[in-house]
Amino acid sequence: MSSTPRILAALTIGVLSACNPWQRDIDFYLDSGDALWDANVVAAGDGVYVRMPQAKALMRVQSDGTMSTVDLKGAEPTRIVATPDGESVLVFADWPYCEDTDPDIVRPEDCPEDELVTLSELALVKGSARTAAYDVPPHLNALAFSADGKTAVAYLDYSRDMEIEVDGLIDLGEVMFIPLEGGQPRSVSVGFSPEKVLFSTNAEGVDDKAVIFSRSEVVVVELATLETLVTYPLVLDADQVVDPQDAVLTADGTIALVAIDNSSDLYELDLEKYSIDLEELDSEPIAMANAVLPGIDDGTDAQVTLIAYPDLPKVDVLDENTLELREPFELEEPVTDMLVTATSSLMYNRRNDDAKDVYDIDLATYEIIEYRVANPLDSLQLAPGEDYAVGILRPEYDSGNSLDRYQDEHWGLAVIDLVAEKETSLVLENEPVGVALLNRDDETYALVLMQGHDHLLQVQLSEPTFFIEVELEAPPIEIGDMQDGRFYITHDAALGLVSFLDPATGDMTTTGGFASAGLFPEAILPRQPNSAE
Amino acid sequence: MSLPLLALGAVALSSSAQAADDRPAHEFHLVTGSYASGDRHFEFYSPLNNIGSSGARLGIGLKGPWTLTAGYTRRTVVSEYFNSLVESNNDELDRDDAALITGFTGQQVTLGPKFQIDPKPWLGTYITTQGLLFMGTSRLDDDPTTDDNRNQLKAFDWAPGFVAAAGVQLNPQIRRSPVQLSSFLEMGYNWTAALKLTDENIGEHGTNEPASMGELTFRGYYLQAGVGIKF
Repeated sequence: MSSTPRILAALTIGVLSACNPWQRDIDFYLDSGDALWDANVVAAGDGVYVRMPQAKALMRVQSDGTMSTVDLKGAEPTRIVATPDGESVLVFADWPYCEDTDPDIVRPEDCPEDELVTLSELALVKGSARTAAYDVPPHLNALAFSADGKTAVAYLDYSRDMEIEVDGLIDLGEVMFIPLEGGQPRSVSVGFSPEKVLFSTNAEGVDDKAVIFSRSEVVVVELATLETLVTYPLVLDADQVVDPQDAVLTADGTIALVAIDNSSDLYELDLEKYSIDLEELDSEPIAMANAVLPGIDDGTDAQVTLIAYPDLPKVDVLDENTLELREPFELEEPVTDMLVTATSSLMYNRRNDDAKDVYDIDLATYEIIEYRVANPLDSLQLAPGEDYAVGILRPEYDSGNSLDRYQDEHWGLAVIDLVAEKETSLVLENEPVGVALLNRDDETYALVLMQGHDHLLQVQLSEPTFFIEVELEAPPIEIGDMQDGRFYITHDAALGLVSFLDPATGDMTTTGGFASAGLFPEAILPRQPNSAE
Repeated sequence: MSLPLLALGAVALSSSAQAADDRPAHEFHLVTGSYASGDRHFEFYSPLNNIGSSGARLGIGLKGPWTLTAGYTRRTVVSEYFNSLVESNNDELDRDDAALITGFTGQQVTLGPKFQIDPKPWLGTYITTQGLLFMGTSRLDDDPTTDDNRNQLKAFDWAPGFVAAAGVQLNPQIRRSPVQLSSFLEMGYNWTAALKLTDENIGEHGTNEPASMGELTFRGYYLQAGVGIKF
């Protein structure tokens, strides 16, 4: 063999062994600190908004498969809330800021530690654009909206387990009113730890007052002027402390009914006469809901508030005109939740494993139809046509014979045919992560997603034992509905995966890969006085 | 590529050499080394702050102590994530397979002069500055058990840069020959402009531009060793 072929052979071996990089094993096992995306997306308009913690960005993913990054001017989104009209989102966002405005300071690490602060804002995003931004203190982490969607109220919900950063001082009783159609936000101090905000409407149906429930007091604020109209003390002795547990406004918006933690007293706050009355109930209420008893008073409707108790097998009926208790609904078991329609109410218990009754109550006749589900209810929802109710059943560990035990140990699906008055309890393979109900071609279906299951179960509610499986590209995490009637499904896929399901046709489109955008964010300080921003 | 394989190639080439009197001016080495990243974003692909490089380098002897060198190296680093990279209300999503596989292939083409002084016939010392063309390919796959899943993302870019290094070269003279065994070790600094990684399949609706993953740079400590021949 001459020297030249030998040289070439040796070179070829060397070069080939240096290439072919994909034929090798995994080099490293890594653990990422930040998630690439948050599967708790928020639907608005024709798409969903996705928070991307690693990229510190907000992505809009549309149902036609397109996606775009929302320019938040360098701020990182921390929470997203859809506005009531379903067309926009409000985004809590923050960014690092160096109070030393030396133009040479470009990156956070350039800034002296004691000069580096975090600023925040509430950005209004429509489409892919940030259309407005409001200077909202960072500790105000929750939002309530007036029914007309024109006003948002930001307040502190401490149950969200957040860290409160104090820059100088903060008022834990502060709420901020934000006019979403233009104007300056304004803060109002409403006592300690405001926990719930309701809006009352005037005779013209316009929201005119905000009723804010905080520790030991209720404050009513006029929306036009943001003046405090009245403060209702819930205790006479300053040493006493009471926390509102639940509150509703009567249908005409003139009375606020307030239930208190560990108390059977129901506070009735007259928002027009600025007076307080107390109704002594039989126990501490656990749920309240407005309802109409159709034609109950000689053909006249009666506006009432239904009051449920965790330990009493009845639901009280408070007449909103007279503020007197009417004849209660007598039940066999206590209920904790109520789904009210124009003519009926479904009542059930989610907190007591022994209470498995579901009651369908005719509000006009007081007729009660009782259903018994196999396992305790985790949730219950009404189908769009109100002919069916579908509940998720959680496992329980109190078993009877072997078949009972099998059912008890598994998650399940309860399908209640409210017309045929029939209940079917089904066993599910895995824990469901979401159930959505839809009507198509005169049939009602439940779409059931299960953890780790690559299929969507489509259950025909008229014959619930028959179902079909729709293959998904990845295991689902969450299902939700969109403004246009479609559903979105988020999947367990690191680089981002969202499916959009059209219930009218059954067509599903899937968009992926969006979590790779902005994966390597620039570590520069945005919004410095001398920066390009 | 393993060093024994490099040595084997060098020995094979050396044994075929013809005897000659004049001193060899050209050189060819199989090389291995690393380019530092120094970019925190590279941690997405590797816990190390550098990427290996293996390939070949050719040197053409010029006048006197000058040699013009040209090289090509490449290396792929592959990592696997098992923790969930999706934030959700579920505490931890059940998982049997990797949540994500990340791969980064770096290819480097270098060209530049080398100035070498040989204090001994078998020992050379040199400095070199080379222009660098750094090509980076990112591959991400969040369902490695499926061959054709939607999220198999590939992004590519190249960036210019340079390498500045000093090194020593050993040229053991086993016998008087026009082809000699040679090896070298050099250390220095590598610098690249930013690689702007974009995935053509992930488009930004607003601009119709491909969505950018972001930028990666390779800057820092440079190391390369080689085994080969002078001829």
